[in-house]
Amino acid sequence: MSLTVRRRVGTVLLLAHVAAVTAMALPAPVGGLHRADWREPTVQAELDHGHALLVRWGWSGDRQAFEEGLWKLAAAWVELRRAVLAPVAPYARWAGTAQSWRMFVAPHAHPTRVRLDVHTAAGWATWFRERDPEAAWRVRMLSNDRVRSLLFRIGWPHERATLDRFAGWFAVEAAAASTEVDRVRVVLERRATPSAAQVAAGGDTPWERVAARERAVVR
Amino acid sequence: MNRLERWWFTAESATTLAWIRVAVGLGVVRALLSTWGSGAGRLVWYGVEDGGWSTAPTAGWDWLGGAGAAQVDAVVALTVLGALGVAFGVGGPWAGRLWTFVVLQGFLAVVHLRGSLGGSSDELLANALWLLVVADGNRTGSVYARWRTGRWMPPATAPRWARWLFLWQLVLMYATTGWQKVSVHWVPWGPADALWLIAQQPTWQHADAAWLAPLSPLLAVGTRVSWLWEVTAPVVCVWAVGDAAGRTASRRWLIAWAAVGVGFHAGVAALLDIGAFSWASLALYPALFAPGPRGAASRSAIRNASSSD
Repeated sequence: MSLTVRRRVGTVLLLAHVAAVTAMALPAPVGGLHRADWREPTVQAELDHGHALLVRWGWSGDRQAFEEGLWKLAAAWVELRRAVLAPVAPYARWAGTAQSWRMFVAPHAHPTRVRLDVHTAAGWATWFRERDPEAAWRVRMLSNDRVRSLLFRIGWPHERATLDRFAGWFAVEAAAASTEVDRVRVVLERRATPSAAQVAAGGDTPWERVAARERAVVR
Repeated sequence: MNRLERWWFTAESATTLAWIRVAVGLGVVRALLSTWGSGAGRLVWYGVEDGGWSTAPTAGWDWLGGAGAAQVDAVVALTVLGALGVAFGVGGPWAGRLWTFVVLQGFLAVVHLRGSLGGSSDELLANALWLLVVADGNRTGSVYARWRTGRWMPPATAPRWARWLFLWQLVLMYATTGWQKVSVHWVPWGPADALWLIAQQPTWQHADAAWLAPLSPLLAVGTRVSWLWEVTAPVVCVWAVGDAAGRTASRRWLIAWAAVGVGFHAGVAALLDIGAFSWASLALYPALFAPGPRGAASRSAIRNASSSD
């Protein structure tokens, strides 16, 4: 095969690769279609703003119709994307060239934080709470970016099974760390992030418990 | 076709690929060792029976006898050593590519053990490794170059397409993340408090960031600038074409755009812990600029290097 032909074949293959990865980056709310998550205050506030904007532009539909319409539109968009990508998705999976650049697309205005409690004869105590220097059990491990990713995920309602598994992990680890522990609890707390103006004025918003998983320690 | 082909295969200095290769190799080392060193590897990569949080998958690990602690440890250790080899540029045109391909497979095998527990840095590093497999980044700035020529940085060329693939990956990442930032906190008609809210999230912050409150006007400007900077990222391709043609104005725009990016990533690294993402992104920045001296003298130097390569 001559150099020119080899080059041309190589170029065509390369361009096919580029076309595939470019298609894989098509924006869509992949992973964001969970009804329970849409009921979260962060998402509801986004929907409120979106609806208010459309009303300002002359749309007459009510808030519920807007949410339903947006759900259907998002689902159809994800489905269309799946169909468009069907020919290239196996290649992208094989090559390991994922292109899901959905990074901080919507800041979490009502974020959760994880608290790990243990129970002994003396009662409940908090061993770990995200970004709390007073409760810093295994803080290096639990502050690693991959673990942060896990703790972020279990804050969303559709990830409650992950929360269950994480509570099971904590029960085993706590049992190994202390013979006095008989029960453990993973608690999710949430708050509305105060605005900068509120904080500057000395204000704050309280953390509220939204979910918890308790496990007996088995030895 | 001929004109396009000439442009596509124009020889450029291979130094750009060398810088990218070094940074990507070290990025893989950092991505794996930071997890390992913190003890988080046991939690996120091991199966329940070895102290992990979820059942170990077996797909792809069968030939090693499963994804037990010993196997995971071995693959992580070998991938870290292999990634150092990538950074140092071990192997010639084909051996180097094969080496990089093996490192890519090791990296993917580990980070995909719990694919949901990584981040965009894993994807960016994997994509960059893949491009290094295709592009042969060991021509200069490598152990191979030293062995072949007796010099660490001998003049060497690479076809232009190699740099452009990295550039396109960078543009694709920034543009599509920007186009998906449709939250009211990001868009120009909103309150521009996205960076404030992100900095206050316990999940990602290094420490409590309430101290940023007096700086909120600055964060609002940062929100506006970073959103606009991301959604308009494709314009970089236009400037890069101009830069490759030796246009000074295009080079200036690229420098300004890159400066914003460096500032953006420095801010992210200072305020948030999102793994190796900033490092992985900046690793591809050398691809923005046409390498080597500019003007007629440079074209002659590249021709000479190309004919002796």
